[in-house]
Amino acid sequence: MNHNGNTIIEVRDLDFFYGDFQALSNIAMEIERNRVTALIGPSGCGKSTFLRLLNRMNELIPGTRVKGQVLFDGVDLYAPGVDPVEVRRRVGMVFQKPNPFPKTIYNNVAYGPRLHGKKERAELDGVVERSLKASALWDEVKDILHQSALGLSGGQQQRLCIARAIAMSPEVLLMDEPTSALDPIATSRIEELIKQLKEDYTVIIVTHNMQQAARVSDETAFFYLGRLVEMGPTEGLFTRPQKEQTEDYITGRFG
Amino acid sequence: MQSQSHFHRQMQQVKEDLLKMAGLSETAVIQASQALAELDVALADQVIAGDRRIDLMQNEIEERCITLLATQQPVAVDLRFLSAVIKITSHVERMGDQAVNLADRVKILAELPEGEMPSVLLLMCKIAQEMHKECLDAFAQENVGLATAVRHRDDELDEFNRDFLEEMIAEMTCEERFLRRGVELILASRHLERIGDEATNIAEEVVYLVEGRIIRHSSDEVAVGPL
Repeated sequence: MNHNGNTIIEVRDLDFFYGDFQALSNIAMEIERNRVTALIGPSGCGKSTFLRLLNRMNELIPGTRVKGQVLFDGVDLYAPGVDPVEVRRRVGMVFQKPNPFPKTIYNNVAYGPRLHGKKERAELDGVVERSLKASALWDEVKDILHQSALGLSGGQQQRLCIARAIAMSPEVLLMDEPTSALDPIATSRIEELIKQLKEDYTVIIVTHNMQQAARVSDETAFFYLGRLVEMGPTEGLFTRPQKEQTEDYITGRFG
Repeated sequence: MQSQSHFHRQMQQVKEDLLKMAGLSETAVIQASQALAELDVALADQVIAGDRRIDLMQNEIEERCITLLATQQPVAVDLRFLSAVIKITSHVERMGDQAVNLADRVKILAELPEGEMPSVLLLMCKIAQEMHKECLDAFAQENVGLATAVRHRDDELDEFNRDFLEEMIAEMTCEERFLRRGVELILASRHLERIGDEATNIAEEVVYLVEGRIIRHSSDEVAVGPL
């Protein structure tokens, strides 16, 4: 496979095991910079496992094993000597349920940068403002920065979590079903936000909502039984998928 | 999953209703052709009266497709199916309209001094009927081969239409008293040629439905006739 200038992540011959159970088999994928890639597939197909492999979150689970390569800008994330903390800084993650810290809005966003040694108040102020603007939350919270984040609505909390991830200046944002706990209005705000975020970041999103994948992503990858069945431009995949399994899944004819 | 299978049953019902509507339109074309051959005004009136039902079925099928699009948000083959059905329904309705136009010609021709019905028109009637049947068989069976055959058949009909136009112009120039009759016959030929065009459009939708390829306006597009 060619490593061209637009590829930010290239996955080669990737296998993943939980103990004896092989959750992913022989995955090969290229993810382009500044694009939104959606991962779809039925529960248990390996899409969330795959997502977590992209920032080494799976190794927090005992008994897991990775084979193959995940090249980030050409460097294997699983090579000896690669610092997983640095990996997670460059590849941020937003989870299914908004999980703000029980702190102020300001401190939620400033938490990561502080841990990484940013102490200057003015510098932190700048990071907080930029991150909250990028996550389209600034206008709603700029006057209540020092109130508890737990007082925000679910949709606002999720945008805060996106701001918290952005504050670390990542290159890639992984999102694991980021709107499944939100109402349709909050969902549509996050979806709009994802479209804006791709200007500056590469976004990879796992979603059970196929219409959401169709709405927000440029590329869609369909996983089934631990394999990557088909990946391609979203427009094509949702109008004329190449593989029968993909068609059966997205049209609900599965099983 | 349950609602999906319900959805697929609803799609099957839409398909059956479209085929019923196509049956009515096909009958209209057959009857209009027969009325032309025999200058049978009563049969022509029957065709004209029957068109209302075809129109109403179009509205009903289209509305159901729109509802399914809105409520089920279909993708892939389901989306192509509903999009194809909406377009095919409209083409079928227009084939019905052409049968009515043909019936109108019959009523006028029956009032004019009698003359022999040109055999080429009767041949065109036959081709139009066959194309009507075959394009909808192609839809029902999702048969791209048959759809392609229908598209090629249209060339034949177009050529007959062009030749017939020239022939009638020559005839009308020689014999002015045949002018009105000639105009009506030219129109009849045009109506039949249009049925062929609609059948071709349906055939193109079938290719889209099955293969996801849009072949309308492609370079190998069959030329449309004059007028």
